[in-house]
Amino acid sequence: MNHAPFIWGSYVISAIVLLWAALAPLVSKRTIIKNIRTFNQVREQSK
Amino acid sequence: MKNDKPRKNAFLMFIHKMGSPPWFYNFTGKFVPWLWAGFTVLTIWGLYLGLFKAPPDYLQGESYRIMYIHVPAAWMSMLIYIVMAVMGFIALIWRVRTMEIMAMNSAPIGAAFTLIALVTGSLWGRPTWGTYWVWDARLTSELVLLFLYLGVIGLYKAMDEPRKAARAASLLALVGLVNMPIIHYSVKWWNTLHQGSSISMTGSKIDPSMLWPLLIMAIAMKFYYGANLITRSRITLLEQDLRKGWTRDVIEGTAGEHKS
Repeated sequence: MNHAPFIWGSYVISAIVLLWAALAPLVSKRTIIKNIRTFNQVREQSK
Repeated sequence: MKNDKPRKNAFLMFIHKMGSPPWFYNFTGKFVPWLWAGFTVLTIWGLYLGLFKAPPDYLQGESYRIMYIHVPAAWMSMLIYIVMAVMGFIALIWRVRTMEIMAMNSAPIGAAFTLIALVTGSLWGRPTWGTYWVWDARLTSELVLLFLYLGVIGLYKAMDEPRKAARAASLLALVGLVNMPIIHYSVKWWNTLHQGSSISMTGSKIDPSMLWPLLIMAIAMKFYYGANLITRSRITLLEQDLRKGWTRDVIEGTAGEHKS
């Protein structure tokens, strides 16, 4: 039996999961920073 | 005895400071690039040694190389759960918000490692056992661990008030601790297809040429956890404190001018 697909498959899947777990919060950070900026702009304008 | 008092005060001061969101955000932010760098360097080094330099196993051939991701991921799945439960315990008793946030942000990272351990274990099982899955004690208890992580994540997301949600999820995390000795001792308590531990506190049955890449990868995964946890926790703090002044200062780069 050729073991290569099992070995490389393991590492590719692991890399995808670890990358996703690392990058997913950064995507939400963009939205949060945008929301903070919008909130502060509204607050400054209402002063 | 005279030296104890200032040390204790310094420690309490640190814990007290950790409870301050702006201080936590700025202090932990300094470590993130170093942790990611450490993870990257150690992973490249560990994988190079494990995949290209270590010799094939006399029994399993090349398939044992899955060990260099499977074993560190399985170790991390358990370690993160214990850390999450301890932080959840601190959050429940002392109501430290940063601890609640770190406990809850540990759950998705732990779930990711558990998923990796299960999938890579399954892919390792096919060439060695002849099957992708068996309902033996080690595999089943690891699957239960994944469900526990998903339960903690689900409970935390299900409630509107984040602090109340974190306390409820922390309680679930503490209850789930009972699964830890079951996972660890499953290969001793039951007759399982999964092999017993090759590494213990007293020594290792693995040849050093195969052991070192494994240890390097295990350390690399700890760097990953640290970097990812801090990154997630800082983002959660920003999200929860969206209307507070310190978040504006941090984003506009005037954090040093703001006194918290």
